[in-house]
Amino acid sequence: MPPKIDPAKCDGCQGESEPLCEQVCPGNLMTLNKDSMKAIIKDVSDCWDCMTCTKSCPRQAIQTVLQYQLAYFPGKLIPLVGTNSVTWTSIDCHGKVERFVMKTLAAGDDEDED
Amino acid sequence: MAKNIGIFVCGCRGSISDIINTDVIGQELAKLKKYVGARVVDPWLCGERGQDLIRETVLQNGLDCVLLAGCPATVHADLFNSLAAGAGLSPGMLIRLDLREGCAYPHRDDPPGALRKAVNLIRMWNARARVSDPLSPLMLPGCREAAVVGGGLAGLTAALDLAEAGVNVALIEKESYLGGNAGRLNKIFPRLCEARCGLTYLYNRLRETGKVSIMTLSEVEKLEGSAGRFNATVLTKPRYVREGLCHGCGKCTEACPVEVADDYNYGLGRRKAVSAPYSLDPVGTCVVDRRHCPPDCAECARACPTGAIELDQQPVRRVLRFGAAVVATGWQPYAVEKVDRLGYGVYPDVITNVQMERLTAGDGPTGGGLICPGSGRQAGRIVFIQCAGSRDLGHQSWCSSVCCTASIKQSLYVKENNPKARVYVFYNDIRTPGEYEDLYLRAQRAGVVFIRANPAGIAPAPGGGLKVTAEDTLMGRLFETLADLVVLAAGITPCGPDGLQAGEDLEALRRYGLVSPAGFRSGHRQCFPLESASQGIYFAGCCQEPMDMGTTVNSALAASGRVLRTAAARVEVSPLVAVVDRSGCDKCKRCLEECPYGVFSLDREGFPVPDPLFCRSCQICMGSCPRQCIISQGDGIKQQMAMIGARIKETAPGEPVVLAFLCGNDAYPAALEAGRRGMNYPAGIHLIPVRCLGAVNMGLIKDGLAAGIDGILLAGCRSDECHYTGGSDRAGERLENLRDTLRDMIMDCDRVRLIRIRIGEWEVFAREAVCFVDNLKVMGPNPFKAAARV
Amino acid sequence: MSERICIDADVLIIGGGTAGCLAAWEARQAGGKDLKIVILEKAFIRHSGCLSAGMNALNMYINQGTPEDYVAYVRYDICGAPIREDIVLSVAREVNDTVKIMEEAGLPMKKKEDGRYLNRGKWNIEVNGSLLKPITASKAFEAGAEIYNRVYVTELIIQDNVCVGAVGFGVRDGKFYICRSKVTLLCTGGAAGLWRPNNRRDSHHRIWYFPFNCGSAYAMCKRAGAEMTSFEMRLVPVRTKDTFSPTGTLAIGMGAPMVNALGESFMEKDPYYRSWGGHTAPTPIRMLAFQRETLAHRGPIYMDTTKGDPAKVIGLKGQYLDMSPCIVLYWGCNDIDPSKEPIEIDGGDPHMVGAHAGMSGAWTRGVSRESTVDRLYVSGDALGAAPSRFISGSWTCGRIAARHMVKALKENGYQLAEIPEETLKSLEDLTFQPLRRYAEKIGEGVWTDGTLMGGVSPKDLEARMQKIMEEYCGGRTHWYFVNETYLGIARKHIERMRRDQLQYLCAKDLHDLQLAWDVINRLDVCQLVVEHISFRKETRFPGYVNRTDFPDPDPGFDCFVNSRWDPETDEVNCFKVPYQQLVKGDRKKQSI
Repeated sequence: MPPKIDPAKCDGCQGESEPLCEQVCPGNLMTLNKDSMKAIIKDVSDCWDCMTCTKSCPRQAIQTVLQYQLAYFPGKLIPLVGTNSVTWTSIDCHGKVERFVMKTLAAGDDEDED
Repeated sequence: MAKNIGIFVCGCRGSISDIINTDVIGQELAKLKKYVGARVVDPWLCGERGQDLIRETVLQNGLDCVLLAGCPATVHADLFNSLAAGAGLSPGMLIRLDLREGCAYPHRDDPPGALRKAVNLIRMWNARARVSDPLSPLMLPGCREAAVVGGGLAGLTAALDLAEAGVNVALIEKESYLGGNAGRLNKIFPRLCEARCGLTYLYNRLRETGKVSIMTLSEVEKLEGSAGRFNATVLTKPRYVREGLCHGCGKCTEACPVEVADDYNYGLGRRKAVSAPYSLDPVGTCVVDRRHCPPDCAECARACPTGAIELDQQPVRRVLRFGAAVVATGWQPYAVEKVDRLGYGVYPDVITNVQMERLTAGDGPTGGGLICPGSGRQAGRIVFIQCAGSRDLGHQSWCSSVCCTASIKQSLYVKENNPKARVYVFYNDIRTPGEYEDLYLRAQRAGVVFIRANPAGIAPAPGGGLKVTAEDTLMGRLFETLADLVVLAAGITPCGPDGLQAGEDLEALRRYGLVSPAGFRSGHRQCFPLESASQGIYFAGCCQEPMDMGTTVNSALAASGRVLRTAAARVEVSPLVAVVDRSGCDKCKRCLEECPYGVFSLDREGFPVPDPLFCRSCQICMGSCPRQCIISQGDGIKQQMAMIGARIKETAPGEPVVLAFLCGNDAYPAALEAGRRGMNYPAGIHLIPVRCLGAVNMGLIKDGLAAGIDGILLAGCRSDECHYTGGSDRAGERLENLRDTLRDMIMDCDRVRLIRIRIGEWEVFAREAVCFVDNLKVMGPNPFKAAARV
Repeated sequence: MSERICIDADVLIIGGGTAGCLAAWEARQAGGKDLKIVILEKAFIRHSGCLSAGMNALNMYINQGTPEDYVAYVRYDICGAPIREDIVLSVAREVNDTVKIMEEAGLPMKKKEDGRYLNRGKWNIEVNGSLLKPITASKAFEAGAEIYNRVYVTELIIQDNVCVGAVGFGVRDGKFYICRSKVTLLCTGGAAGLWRPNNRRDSHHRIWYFPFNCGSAYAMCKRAGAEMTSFEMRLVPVRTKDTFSPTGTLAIGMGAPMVNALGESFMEKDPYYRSWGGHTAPTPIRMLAFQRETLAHRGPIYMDTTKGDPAKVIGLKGQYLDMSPCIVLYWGCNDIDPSKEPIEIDGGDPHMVGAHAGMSGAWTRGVSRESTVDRLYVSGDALGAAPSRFISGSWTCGRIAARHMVKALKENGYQLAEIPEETLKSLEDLTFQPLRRYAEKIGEGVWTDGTLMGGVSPKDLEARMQKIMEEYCGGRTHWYFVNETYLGIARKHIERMRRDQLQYLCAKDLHDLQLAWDVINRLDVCQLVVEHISFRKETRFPGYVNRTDFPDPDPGFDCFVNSRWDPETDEVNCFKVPYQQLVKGDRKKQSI
């Protein structure tokens, strides 16, 4: 599902030449639009939906939207990436909200439990 | 990583233990097994017995870290620090946890809650202790190269001070001569000694050091880099005269067909396009000012007996490397012709203070004789008009602070020369601060007449001279005076090198309150004197703010003092400076953008590199990094991550769990004071002090929300009061963005809130805290508590 | 002439992926701190490759039994077909250790009450793998390897059947990268995008495998003259409809059986499938079952998630979020509730993968991972004839390869080779050819829409290649059926593409140059696939390749089909290589 970038939230990574999303995309598909100085995807059809850009954006400016060919409107899936865990919020077409929390990095040194 | 932690909980002689049940604390401590080598609950740890107990426990158990839970860190700081050191603990391995002002006191009304909160805090701080390492200070080579921009009084003073301390200085001066405005004065107050005497002395000493490389006719074109590693491109204009060949015979000047207003004399008198060297010209040759040369004219070259004149010389660009700079670009008089009613620029006998100096100076256009430039007559009636264009919202709103004393000084010139001269000073207020009051008295005794008058206009008087119409504001009546010469106290306009802030624009500087609307680089006078937004660049003299020569010298010495802090051969740097963990760094450069001090530059691979000599340890970079790659020794992101990862439980069933990040300058002391003053707020609020609110990394907040924390409060300074110039604003921007995301996620964005508190606003803190928790109760628990944990 | 970046390495790793990162780490352990390890990665190593979306399970782990039992399982899962048992055994012996290393690196492992890893089925364990790639990459950082990101390696440098380095171009900086090396590990993954994907237009990359793997490892090995193996053994993925998300979670995790539109659990019902093992029949058979049910008009086919505990569905969504989050969004948008309705599955475009349930790759000597080209090693999906290694096995393979590489380096005292300037010049020309051609062709004229009059874009070539493979080499729309006539047509077209059409390939910028090389490499792999399928005149993996002209297995082909490309004739010459059974037992049965 290709990334869509919210112009109100994207700051082009403060105008740097290689924004974070461009840096991380495994398909080399993200870039900075030189006129708007905001991120865009070069070719929407080449996206594999790995969501690395969405998770990496420091301003959560990227939302992944499934192609209409595959998925009806509306519906959202929003990751919020912490330092060692990630939360996912799924809002389906009826507005029902489901939430998930996963560990992403083990601290390696868990505290004692009661 | 601490491997053998001792947890000590102090009952504080009842202050804590009356509210928090320390027996239960003891039981809870027993559950902490990993890496904990000792658990002590004691009624009184700061007394001698208590101190001995700590020392023995450390030694007997071979502890490498002490977590001391009791009074706040600022209390008994020296006592416990030296106790820890004496017991063999490495620096930084004594960790203080406040259970008193921030835990017992504010929850007097809720002892069970205070107890549960204390247990949470101990777990959090224990987790922090486990990832703490001893602090090791850094010894770095010092910054031995400096630049001084501006060769006036401030510049020369700073350059000399630096050179005498062993620093190599590049002195960059726009004109062909040194001394700036001060070098062209007649005499200086309060002693009324000769200006050039002191400056020549300064200049000679400078040369003797052999460490100052003087570049005249030079300006900084471009500045790049950051503190400790600046590169400046300096453009040097040509003199068109070869140094070894010019003897200053003056034949070129005679031959030159062009005459222009003499800018050395502030426009009084005329000079040729080629001029003889001024005093304090370090190169000492004539200078050709090609701006005024007619095309193809080469009269001066032809006239020169030694062939020293080369009209095809080119400007030279050099790149200078230096670690720090003093900017002393000085001032110029206000363009007082803009004040129509004062007739400057219309009537040649209306002059400014600085022109008056030149008129009375021995090397001036009249050789010191008080001859009116227009009429040519001896000036017998002189009117000084103060605040000419100053303290005027239509022109310069500020007081230039020296003009009153300067005019009074000049009135004494006149009276010394000609006691019978009629001298009037029209003023709004006479501001002769401190002991300059003496001069005011002297002038009055000498017969100078001071009238509190508002000049309405200047016109030619029938029969020659000028007629000044004014309102005598004390008497409340209009009057007219005749004058041969009118001297306007045109105020000080700063000469700011606008391009000098590396990467910053003036607007950004104004946002941080470092440049006044007038353009003075005044900085934050008490907290961050002399500073620009870039660490390593310091301002001195009148470009900083209007000041007299004595204060200018002091400010120049203060600026050089700032540079010298980092100029020793080896400098010990606080271990708390920022360090970039490259393995995680994706080079997004947010740290570089958000550092308020311009301390980051990029290395060849594009990784950000902070200069530890200049890093302020504000940790705003640490807060900005989306990958938590900026770490520091001591209390940094890893410690905070560990704290949030500890099991933080509800302090009472249904009571919201809140993490409050409080900035150490304002909000945290306010919160502690709230406790001291008996204010109550809910026990679910766990206080986490941070150096600056800008140090709070959004990753921590996301972790907290994921872990089920109900609310997160950020409390810090107001916008223009932040000690780290904008740190709380940074946090605010990041937080607003996160709140947007929370709205998208159908979460109440008010679960994360930022409030601004002054150090004295403890009541506000308590009130906001109560309000925040009340709102959270209405919102209900964090929906992620009920989320599927997969 | 492009600006050149010249790098010298002791150990060169091409592909900073699953195998590559662990290879770098192991090379440092084995080779000491002075060993110069270089990684050339075409994307950004922390988030590149198949692992970029994460993963929720490690599908190779010895939960019980012995490594030999695992070999027996792998053999069984490929219908008893020949496999390199020595390689699989070497991985099985070390995979548990490797997993421990990655747990210590921060990979969150799901655990049972007794502290053991939570297993899913016999040979898999569950993890929270959202950050799987960054954690993998951290081993490369830890190794202090010199990492070059955004460098696309186009060719190996071969001198007398010895690999002495590689060249490529900077995807962002356009420079020509030359890396000389003493030993080289090629592990750039497998190949997808050879056949036409089910989803069209703006969804054409919505496939199961990583779409940016174009088989460059296969192509470069082939062009280097290495012996290749098993390119007829292609993986046909049957995955969730539309999103092609993995189904292991459904099958083993939830125990959801495959059912047809009549609600029949046909794997248990049909005696033919029961004879193969029912629900746990070998992978190709399960693929075949899906095909046959659909062709018999009993589709659509589903995995039935409606039986069993509805609470598991939440867990199911969570699991998918760790590796294929788009399916959760898909369910949300399309109002699909897995607890109330079964999940439709579909067959996708075939992929060439050596470390999954497929076998294509380079043939290697013993367990050294060295190909038949000296000093050229392969690992991960690029390593052939050793299926079912997956992520944990590829990590392990990378480690084993590195160990052998360092040993060979020390024992033989390999030195860096001198590379003649003409070689470098011709490699540079080759590398940038599509880009330079574009610049030339612009001069010949463009149409009003800006396309070249005299050239073809990489996307055009890709579309045509995919159509050819789809229609003549057993694509999904042909239900994976082939015969020699079809294959002959495929051969003819692929030959024409390679020999005659590539001269028109033009790339307009560096990103397009990457796509151009993807097509060049894919076409090379297509040639291998067509020749191998054609050579193996039998159907040994029904479901993967259904030969209508030879529908049954032939004992004469109970062996590997290997090949070598002849640069003079541009022919791929296939030959049989005997199979060695090391682990005793019935190859069509699991031992535990």
